[in-house]
Amino acid sequence: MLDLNLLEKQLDEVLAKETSETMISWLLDRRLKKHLNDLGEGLFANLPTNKFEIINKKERTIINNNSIDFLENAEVSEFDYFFAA
Amino acid sequence: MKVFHTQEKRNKILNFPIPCVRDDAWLGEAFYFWKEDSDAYEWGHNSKRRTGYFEIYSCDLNSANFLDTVFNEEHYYFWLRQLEKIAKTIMVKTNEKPTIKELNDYIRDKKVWPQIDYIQFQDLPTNSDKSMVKPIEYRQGARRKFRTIAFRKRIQISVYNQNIISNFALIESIKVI
Repeated sequence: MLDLNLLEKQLDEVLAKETSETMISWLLDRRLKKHLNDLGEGLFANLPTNKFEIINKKERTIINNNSIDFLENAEVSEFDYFFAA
Repeated sequence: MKVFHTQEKRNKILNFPIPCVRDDAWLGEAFYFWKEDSDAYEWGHNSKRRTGYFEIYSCDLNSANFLDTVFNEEHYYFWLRQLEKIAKTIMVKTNEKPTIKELNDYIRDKKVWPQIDYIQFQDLPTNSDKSMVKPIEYRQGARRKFRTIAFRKRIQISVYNQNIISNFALIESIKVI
């Protein structure tokens, strides 16, 4: 027979130790497992990084290659560029 | 307690139940059984169709360490309170609402209650075809509507401790309709 008071105490002790970091870490891990399950059986393939260019639409000039700082230097709005694979 | 297990037919007859890790197994990763064989057969026709046949197995569960949320009022309210406690903690600490499966997975992952061998719970069957009563017809303005009331409990058991399972045996192999 189960002792419900003991069960409640056990849960309270576990929950009391949780911080935001531990809880977020657990939840992310759970959801990643679900995501991997959804993908089904298989292997992850290591693909080489694709080079890409960010091109200014009006002037058709390459703004940057593989850089995430382009918006700091470019004199264009974020809608004036597109990615070219 | 004798219970029933439904699986799709495979190349070999099972000698042990298969644990369920489906996303809709809302009591978390466990071995799932039906209390009544009629529900086991219905589950086979509805959800174990992949190979064109499904199999019904039976086994015995030998343990007094279980939560009976179906017939034991104290157990039911206790279980409800604990799940709500876990949900609130997750929401406060992560700003995310958990799924019911995540609540139960939390209990397993953190080994909160190692002494619980299984949980008996119910869900209400949604298919009215096999019900002995027909849906209630009512009017909503000019629209004719039907409300299906399931008065029979569909009782499931989720087993976390496989050592309590014994006498697992095939009863029947059925063609899916």
